[in-house]
Amino acid sequence: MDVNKIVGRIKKDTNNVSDITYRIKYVNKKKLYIIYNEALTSSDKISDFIMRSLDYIDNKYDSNIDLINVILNEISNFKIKTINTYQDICYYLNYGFTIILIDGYSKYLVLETKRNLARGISTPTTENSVRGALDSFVEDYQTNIGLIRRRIKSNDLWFNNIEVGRYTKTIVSVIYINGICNNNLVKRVNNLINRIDIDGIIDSGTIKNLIQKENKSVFPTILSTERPDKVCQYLLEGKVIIMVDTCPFCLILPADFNDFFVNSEDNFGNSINISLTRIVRYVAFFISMITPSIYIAVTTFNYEMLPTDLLVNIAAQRDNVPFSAFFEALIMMASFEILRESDLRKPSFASSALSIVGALILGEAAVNAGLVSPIMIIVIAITSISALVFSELEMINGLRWYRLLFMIGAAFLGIFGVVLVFIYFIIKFSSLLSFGIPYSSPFSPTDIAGIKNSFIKFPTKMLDKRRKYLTNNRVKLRDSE
Amino acid sequence: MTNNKISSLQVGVILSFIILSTTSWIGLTDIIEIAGRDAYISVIVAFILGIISLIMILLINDKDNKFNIKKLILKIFGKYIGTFINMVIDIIMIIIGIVTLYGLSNFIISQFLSDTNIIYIYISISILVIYCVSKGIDVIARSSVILLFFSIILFLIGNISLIEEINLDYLKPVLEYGIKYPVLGGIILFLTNIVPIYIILIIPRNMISDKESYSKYIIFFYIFSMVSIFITTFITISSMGINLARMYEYPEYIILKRISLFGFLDRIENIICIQWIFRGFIMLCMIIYYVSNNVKKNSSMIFRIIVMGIIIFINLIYFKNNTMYGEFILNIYPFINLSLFMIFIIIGIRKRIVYNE
Amino acid sequence: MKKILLVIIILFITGCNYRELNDIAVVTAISVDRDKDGYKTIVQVINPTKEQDSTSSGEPDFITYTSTGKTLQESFRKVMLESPRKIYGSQMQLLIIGEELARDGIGDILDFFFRDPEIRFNFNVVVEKKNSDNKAIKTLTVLDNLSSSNIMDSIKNASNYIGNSIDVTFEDLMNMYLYDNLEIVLPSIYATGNDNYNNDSNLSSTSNYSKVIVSNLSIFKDDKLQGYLTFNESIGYNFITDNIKDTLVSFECDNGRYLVSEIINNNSDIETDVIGRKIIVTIHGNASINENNCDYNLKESSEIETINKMVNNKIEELVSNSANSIRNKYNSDIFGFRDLFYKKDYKEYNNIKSVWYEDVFNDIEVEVKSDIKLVEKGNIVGGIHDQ
Repeated sequence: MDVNKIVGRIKKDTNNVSDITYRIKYVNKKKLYIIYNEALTSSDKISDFIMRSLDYIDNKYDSNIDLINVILNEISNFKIKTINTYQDICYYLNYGFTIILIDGYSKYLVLETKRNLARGISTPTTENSVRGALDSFVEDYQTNIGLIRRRIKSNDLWFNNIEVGRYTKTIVSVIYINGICNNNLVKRVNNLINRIDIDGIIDSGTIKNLIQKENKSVFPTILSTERPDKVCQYLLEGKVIIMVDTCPFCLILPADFNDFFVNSEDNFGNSINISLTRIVRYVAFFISMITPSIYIAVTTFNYEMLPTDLLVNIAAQRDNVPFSAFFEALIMMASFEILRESDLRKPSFASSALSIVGALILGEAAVNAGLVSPIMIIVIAITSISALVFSELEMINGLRWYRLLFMIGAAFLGIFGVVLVFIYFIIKFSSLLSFGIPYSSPFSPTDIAGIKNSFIKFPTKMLDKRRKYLTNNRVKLRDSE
Repeated sequence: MTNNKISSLQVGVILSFIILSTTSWIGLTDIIEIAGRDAYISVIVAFILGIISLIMILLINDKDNKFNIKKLILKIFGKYIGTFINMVIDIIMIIIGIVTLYGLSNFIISQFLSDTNIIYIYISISILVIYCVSKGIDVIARSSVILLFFSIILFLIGNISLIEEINLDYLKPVLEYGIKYPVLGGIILFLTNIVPIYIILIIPRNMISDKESYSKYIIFFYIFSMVSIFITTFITISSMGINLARMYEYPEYIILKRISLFGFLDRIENIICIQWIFRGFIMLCMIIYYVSNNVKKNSSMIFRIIVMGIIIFINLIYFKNNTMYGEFILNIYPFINLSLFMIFIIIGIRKRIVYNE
Repeated sequence: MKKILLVIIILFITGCNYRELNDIAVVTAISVDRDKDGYKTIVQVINPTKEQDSTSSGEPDFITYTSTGKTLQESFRKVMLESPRKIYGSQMQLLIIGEELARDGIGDILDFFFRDPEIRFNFNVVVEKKNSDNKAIKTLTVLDNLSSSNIMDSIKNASNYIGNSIDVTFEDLMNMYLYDNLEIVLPSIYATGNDNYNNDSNLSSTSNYSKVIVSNLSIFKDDKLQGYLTFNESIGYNFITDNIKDTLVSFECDNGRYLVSEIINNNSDIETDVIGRKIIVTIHGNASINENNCDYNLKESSEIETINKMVNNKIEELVSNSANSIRNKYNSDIFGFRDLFYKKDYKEYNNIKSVWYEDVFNDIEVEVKSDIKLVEKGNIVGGIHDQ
């Protein structure tokens, strides 16, 4: 097609928007159009590399040459491609490349001149790292891949890129280590992403919800993180990483229940200390789910479980409260959840007002007003603090739903109701599948290699095998003696 | 890495739950009433007799077996007799389910909630059981492993704290009335507790991912559950004496009331008896799974609800109080299980003779 | 969708046994006595008050309700005519049986407590003497805010440190009642003092107050109360049945001067000889000298030997005297000899079972061997009267 027509068509399609710049240059007496998007390209690269090279070509060669091959050969940009369709021109233009249209040729050149629009590598914002690397992913896809490649310097680190989104054309890449990771899993993930037909992907959460459609559970089955050292540890275990351009949080799948309790810095510690910490996390999980319901069950149905002094104390405290135990617990849980939610979203100028109001609701003022009893406040405080042990927000939200179910069960049938809801929780938990791996995987299809790193942590020398359900290549640590 | 394979550890755990499930409300009461002070000898007798059942299971479900027990019966006996035998076994399984459900619910009513109508307990347990079975056998298997983990913790806490209450004087004089009664008690314990393990045969060998260790795990969990029953019986009789144990309806629950852990934690019998609720639950799940196994997928949910409804209905109209239940499980129930045992011996022998594939 | 519907339906039903804590009255002690043809029961209920609450500072920590009826269950229900809350018995700590009821036979009241699913079986059982007129359950005390815990702690102290009482729970009582070979033994208490036992003035004086005192053991035969043992007989009984944890033995060396030694770490073994109708009680243990007002020179080992022998003699004399006097006065086998014979040789026992009390019991030869070693003397090596 005639280059003038192409330029005219681009101008019409983009409504002659002002950040697309068109420059005409004559090289070897042929007319070149240089088109680039000023918002996305860095002008140094264009003037330093492209313009200078074109001038050099203009000076060196005479006019009877095959200009496109000469430019391909001589231009000092490191990334250059030839394309020949109009859709490709639009794609690369929006991607930050510079398009060179040469009059008389039906192939066009695109050169990489992207401006770095991402921030620099900084510390992670949501995950604290006590003793580990402090770099985190940024919004630029190439930088993220670079951070991973720095740590895994092997030819087996493969990834394939898929473009998702009609308007956003975001690059989603599926990263795995060939030889460790299971091929069926990779094929499955690729199929799932290829089937997505959506207007746009803005961040990885959308991908997570779209490929996770089959699990209707409140517990998360995909981990997300913004730390490259964690990502590399999971890659070496045999998991698959999904990285989305423009989003620093990448997805790790498949994730099972134990992965939410394990911190990547646990490798530093002594195995006995870390085992106690893990036990504390597991106990905190159950405390956070069950404590309000046990309080309700013990003070309304099964009084014989309390020692006499405690029973008299609680009876004295509950004399003044007008509500039943179930509604009291419900009101306190709701106010704490409102507090927590507003804490996440608050603007900085409201923080001191928030802490005052929080102390009022959860403190002496509510007790003296006669709305709640003091022991309820302690129960709610223990519950809420135990829930904050986890770094994954979805897990804390998932606990909320089960906490409510346990409270309903306790109000209905006492301790037996708590047991019934507990059995329901175990059934739901065992029936979850996270991309073909059972969610209760280190415990229930029992896998010794998984249990060695779950609620007790064996010394690192003994963690020498990978998980049976993830991979066939099981040996990862060979004993050197 | 597919998700409908069960490991043989999970099969073993289901087996141990089936054996242990009727201990608390049927088995112990029977042997304490028959054998008295020597009830622990009954447990040893039942252990020896149960080896026959184990051998039967390993014979029927041998290495190349691709069919579950229902299809196997159809293949061995032909279509008409096979369907008839299947129906008989299904009815016997439903009777086992009735007895288990009543035992569990009566235990809950009499100890936890005194004024509740029993129909609420029936409905709550039934909803959970139907929900669990509708997810498939692999979910039942996985949940049973997790529930076993909790059960073992509670079992150890309960029994270790009771070691200091053991008074060996309560066991003397040994064998005062002769060996006849313990052996009779042992036979009844074998019939009520061990014969229902034939439910395991519903899982064919090729559904199990590590086939070679099937027999190893089955034998291990059989020994494990019989040792648990022995420990429970021994501690109950030697801590309470035979007179008190005969008076109570649930002696192993009453003995837990004596636990005083570390001096302050002393009212935890409600928590420790949660393990019995788990056992009854898994047993009911397996029974419903067995009965509804060969029904097509669309109507299987309705079929399960109907079966559960039949169980609840017969419970309501037949077992009006606990005395009738006690008479039933002592006089009629062992004979029902005896017929089940006979049927499976016939199946085993015929398979060896006729059907050698 | 179906699940949400189910949850909403369930939210409207809050249980079938739902009771708030404000609706129950927590019972901590029950006292049962005979009243014409029926029973008179006194129920002690905790009054839950907060300590800092100023409006309820004058209220006592517990109150008692009295009611009568032909059966136990009837009289407990009649309490509801007075009380705004329903009785809840699972925190019960103490059962007091009046003497009159005990003399008539306690078998009839046991079935109620045994059958109730709420009541736990680790509460203590005591007998209250007739002269204290059911006052023990109503007495306010300073050191313990519930009279039941006061009584229970006194009994525990008496059985641990003096040795004239035993700690009997309801389950032990049931065991003794159901088992034909055992007879019932219960501790006993009585209340003395002035008439202000149930109001505040009992708490405000340091010496002139009503109190509850632990007395010696009470002996039953066939579930009827026969009488009360003496102090020495109680200690002797406890030696035979291995219930002594700590007791004092004192003997007189000159007129009015005594040497007191404390028996610690002891246990008794019993051997039975069924054919020869003989029981041999062997008491092992250690002793220490607590108070020495005699002229023994404690630095010489021969003197220690002499004292040791005298302690052993004293114990043997105490135990065999109590065995004989209990048998002569009451003819009730509280020691458990019957049970020992049964466990040792049940065939022989079956022959003599029917004539136990007539022929066999009084003819059993009880031989006591005491093997206590003196190991400690306290701070002082010799004695202060040596020089």
